[in-house]
Amino acid sequence: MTTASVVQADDVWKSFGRIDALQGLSLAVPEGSAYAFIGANGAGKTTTIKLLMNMLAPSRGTASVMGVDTRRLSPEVLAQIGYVSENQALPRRLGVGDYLEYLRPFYPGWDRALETSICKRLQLPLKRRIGELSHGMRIKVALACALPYRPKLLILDEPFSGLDPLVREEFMEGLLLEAGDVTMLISSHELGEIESLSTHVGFIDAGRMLIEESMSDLGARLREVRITLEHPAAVPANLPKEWLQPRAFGNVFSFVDTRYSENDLGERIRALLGPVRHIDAEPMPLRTVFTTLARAARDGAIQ
Amino acid sequence: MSTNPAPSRAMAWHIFRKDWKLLWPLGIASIAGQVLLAALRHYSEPFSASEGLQATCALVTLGLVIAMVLLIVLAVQQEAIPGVDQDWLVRPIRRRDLLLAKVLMLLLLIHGPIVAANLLRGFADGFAFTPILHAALLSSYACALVFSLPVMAIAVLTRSVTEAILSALAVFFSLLLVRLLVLAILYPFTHTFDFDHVTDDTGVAWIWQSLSMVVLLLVTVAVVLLQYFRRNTRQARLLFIGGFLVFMFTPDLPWRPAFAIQQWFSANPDAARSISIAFDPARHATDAAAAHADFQLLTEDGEEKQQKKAENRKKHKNKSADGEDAPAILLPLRFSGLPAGLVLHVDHTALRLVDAVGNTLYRGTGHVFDLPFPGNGDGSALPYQTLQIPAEVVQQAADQTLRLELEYSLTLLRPHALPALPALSREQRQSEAGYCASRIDDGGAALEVSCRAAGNVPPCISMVLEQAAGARRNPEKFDCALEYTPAPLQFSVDPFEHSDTELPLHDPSGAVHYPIDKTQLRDAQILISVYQPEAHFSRQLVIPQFRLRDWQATAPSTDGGSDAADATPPAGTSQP
Repeated sequence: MTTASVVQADDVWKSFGRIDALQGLSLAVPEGSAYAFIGANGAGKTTTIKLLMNMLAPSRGTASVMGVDTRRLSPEVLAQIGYVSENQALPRRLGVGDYLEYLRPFYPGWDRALETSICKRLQLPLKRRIGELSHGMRIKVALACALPYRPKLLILDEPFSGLDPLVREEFMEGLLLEAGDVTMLISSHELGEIESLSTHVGFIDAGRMLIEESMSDLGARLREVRITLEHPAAVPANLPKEWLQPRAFGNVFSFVDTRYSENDLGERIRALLGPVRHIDAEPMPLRTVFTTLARAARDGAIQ
Repeated sequence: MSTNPAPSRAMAWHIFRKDWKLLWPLGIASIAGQVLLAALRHYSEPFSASEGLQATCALVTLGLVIAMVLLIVLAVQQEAIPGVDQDWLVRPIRRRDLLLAKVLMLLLLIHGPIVAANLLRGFADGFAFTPILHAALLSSYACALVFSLPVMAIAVLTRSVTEAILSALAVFFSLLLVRLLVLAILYPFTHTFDFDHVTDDTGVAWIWQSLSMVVLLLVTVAVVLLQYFRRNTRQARLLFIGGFLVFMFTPDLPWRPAFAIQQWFSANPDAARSISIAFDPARHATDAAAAHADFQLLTEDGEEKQQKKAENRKKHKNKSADGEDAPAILLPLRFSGLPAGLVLHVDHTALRLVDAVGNTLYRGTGHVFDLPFPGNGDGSALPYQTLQIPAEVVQQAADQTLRLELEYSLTLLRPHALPALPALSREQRQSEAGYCASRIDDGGAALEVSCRAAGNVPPCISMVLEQAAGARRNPEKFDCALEYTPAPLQFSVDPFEHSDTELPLHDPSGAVHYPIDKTQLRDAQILISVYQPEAHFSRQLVIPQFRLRDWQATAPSTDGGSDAADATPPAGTSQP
């Protein structure tokens, strides 16, 4: 079954002078999903998000959010999008309460009770100026300003950056409890934090989307395989390209299988490595998936 | 859930209230500054203010300008346009509402107070409501044109006050440098590093100035709209710099088209039909003649310039009146067909020296001069005009027979008298000059007459002290800075214009006795005349054979061997 995409990007390029930050990026965030947008530093995550929010214009290609071209995002569409970013420049001289009060009339669906509940949960100092708050507190203010109108789409760009574990937990609690039925696009390096809520993942490298699929498909497809051989192990020359990070030590040979299939794995291993004593194929946490893919991308093993 | 936003006016007002919450101290400072300045100016009238009051006015003006700049820049940059991190970019804020809120701030905190303060000042000064409102609105418009809109344009192109100030300074000095270089390339002979435009200090200066103001208005409005509705900072910055270059160079446009436009505004072009100009070679270019050349009456500080020129001539016998090394060429002229009772003003003289084979040796200008009241019966006048020609050109071609082509741009002005003012009077309404008052100055040497009007005082006024009984008069005194701006385009930042004239009660040199002195003022009156342009026209004069050496200003020869005396070059004739 095909689900409609709330966020869609097709062959998007973005250049800053001679540097191509995005090189034909395509992306689709299905409605109702929690999309983990991951990639190494400088891969193009923030550029992509700023482009989706119409803060930047694409050099080539098109992107749409909620069915509207990002270059033509109207206030009506923006009123349904929540956005939180680590480098979001909030008005520093306004008090937290004043800013919430200022934002209310712009959102027809603003829920005062929800606003109060979020501020209480996040323990926001309503009287203090935003510029006087710590980085973590400012991120919480940004979250408090992004949820009370019950957005249909929530875009979070490195929301955990610089937050201590306690604040991070408070943030996640606030997010999960108050966001309701929302499509989420989260870019973060804190993969442990987002793994539990992510339904989809997109891996970006050097401005291109390398892998994009549901977490269930990815979990089923990627396995960390550990084989105990009858004889000392060595990395074979004709290794299949879907086997990443091959390692041999003693009788043990390990790798990450990116096209895991329980049915034929044993047969393929025996054909390539000889007699096998034991095969162990474990699902991988998102952090390991990321480091594996990032290394492979860096080494040119995947393109 | 409804997704319809609130109406535009309501949201603009909402954004304005947020800005006010943050910037009210600057808003209050701006309003208070306007009121204080209006009060200070009111108390400094009708005569020139004391130095202390002038210094206070200057300080308040400086503080007010700083407060207004900060207010505009900070208000605009609450929602900075350049950059990609601002929170407002992801909020459902209509750009139109945002722009409207900033315009509202300009209107309520800057231009509203300007109009209100000027209305109060005008009422306190005794002017009627309609002329004050008219002058106050025009003043507010002038302020928007030269101040608020350019500052707003800079604010929408930058992200912080520091960036705005540094960028403005950088752009300003870069453009100045460009201007200097361009002028140095275009005018290697005479105008190198000269910031004057060809129409500066002339009656037609308003034409290119108005055009440059239109350019400024279009550029600033385009930059603001481009930023708010397209958010394309790079394009907008290029437009701003390019537009400012055009704005800066527009007043450099040439004289001839400006004067051609001015001619369309002639009230009575036929008045000048009979006037012709001829070269009068029978007269010599003596030093005594040079002392009387270029008589100026209707230009700003004309009499002072005349005196200064005479002093310079004494100090630097071998130099020109302007202190330059270039030798002055004195041209004896004969004007005929001058209408009685009018004043002829030479606005501009374009000269071209052509050698025997037709090459242009030099293009330049002649000095400005006036022919006052040539009502001598036959309608003729015999002035000398100075032509400033660079020394190297004179050295190169002093003895060559050249062709001299002159194109005169001229204006005929008609005086009309206003009702006489008692010599010692408190403020009295004069129809065109506004309110006028007079008093004897501190030293008792002159009668000070001060006039002020809501709007513009006529650019050229003459005053003369006369016995109420009739016959006897002191010399006429002119207060002129000729400008031919049509009435609807006359406006300035200060809506109340001043004119201060000193009528001497005795001759400073002691050479002449003035009939009306301090003791006779009780029975005297001041006759005020306003000079209005009647016709703008041009005449060409071609002198086919002209030797520079023959017409250099020299002391009268005692042995009768002066070149000038011997020279009998053929006379040129003017072509209408």
